Amino acid sequence: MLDRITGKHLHLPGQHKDEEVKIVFRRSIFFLIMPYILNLILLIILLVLAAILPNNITILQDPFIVSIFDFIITLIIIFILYTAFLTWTHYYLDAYIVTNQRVLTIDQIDFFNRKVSEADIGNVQDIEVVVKGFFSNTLNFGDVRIQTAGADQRILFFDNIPYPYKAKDIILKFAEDNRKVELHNAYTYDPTKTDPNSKSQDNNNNTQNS
Amino acid sequence: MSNQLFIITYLLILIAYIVGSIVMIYHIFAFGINTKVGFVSSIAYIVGSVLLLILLYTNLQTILDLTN
Repeated sequence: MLDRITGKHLHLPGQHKDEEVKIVFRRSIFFLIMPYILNLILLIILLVLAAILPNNITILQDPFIVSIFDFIITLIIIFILYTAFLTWTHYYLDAYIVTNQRVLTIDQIDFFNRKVSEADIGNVQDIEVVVKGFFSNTLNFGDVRIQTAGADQRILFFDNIPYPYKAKDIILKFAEDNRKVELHNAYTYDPTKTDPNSKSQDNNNNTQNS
Repeated sequence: MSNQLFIITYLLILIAYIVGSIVMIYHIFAFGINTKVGFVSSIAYIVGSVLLLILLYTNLQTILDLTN
């Protein structure tokens, strides 16, 4: 499905080292199909008018007027294709991402206007699911609100994602896995196996002290 | 004179459409997560656009032939 994708081939702009994208949620496909249905209705009306009008209106019997009429119809069809792709682009660029390190929401407000919020997945404290309305309940989509703990408390919103209860379980599982890994790293921490930069810093500190 | 008007109108539409399309495709490749999906959708859009712009050009040709 387009609205929930997983896999290692996924690339996240600004991806950290050793960060792996676990799952990407998008708004329910309902929000992509609805504008497309409206576009399709508009296109059908346009094609029906293009077929009926030249036979019934006398002005449209003139070849010059007919060619201008065809030009305008083609122009409107191009505009419909453009708006369809614009809808798709907005749908595609809005994403809610869960990696092994972070939870991110990417909101493409407009072109060249983008809002990205993120939180450490280990800090995920509470997740609230809101499924409200007829379409949300019948088509199984809803909002997921993720609250984080720690010094920078914040709430991240995953709006209108499909299967929100399952999404909540998945996010909680990844958060729990992250906490386990961090706890394991803390217990198995070996001070002799530090990276060269921190060693050189330690050496500098020692020389300064001596 | 009217021929030039039609040609200028067509060129303005063409330029606006191409600029708008480049902006959208740039966003898809710059900020998209699943590049395979972005690539396929962009190709479908480009093919559809080229066909419709050719159709628009033939309409323009008909208009120009009738005005001459």
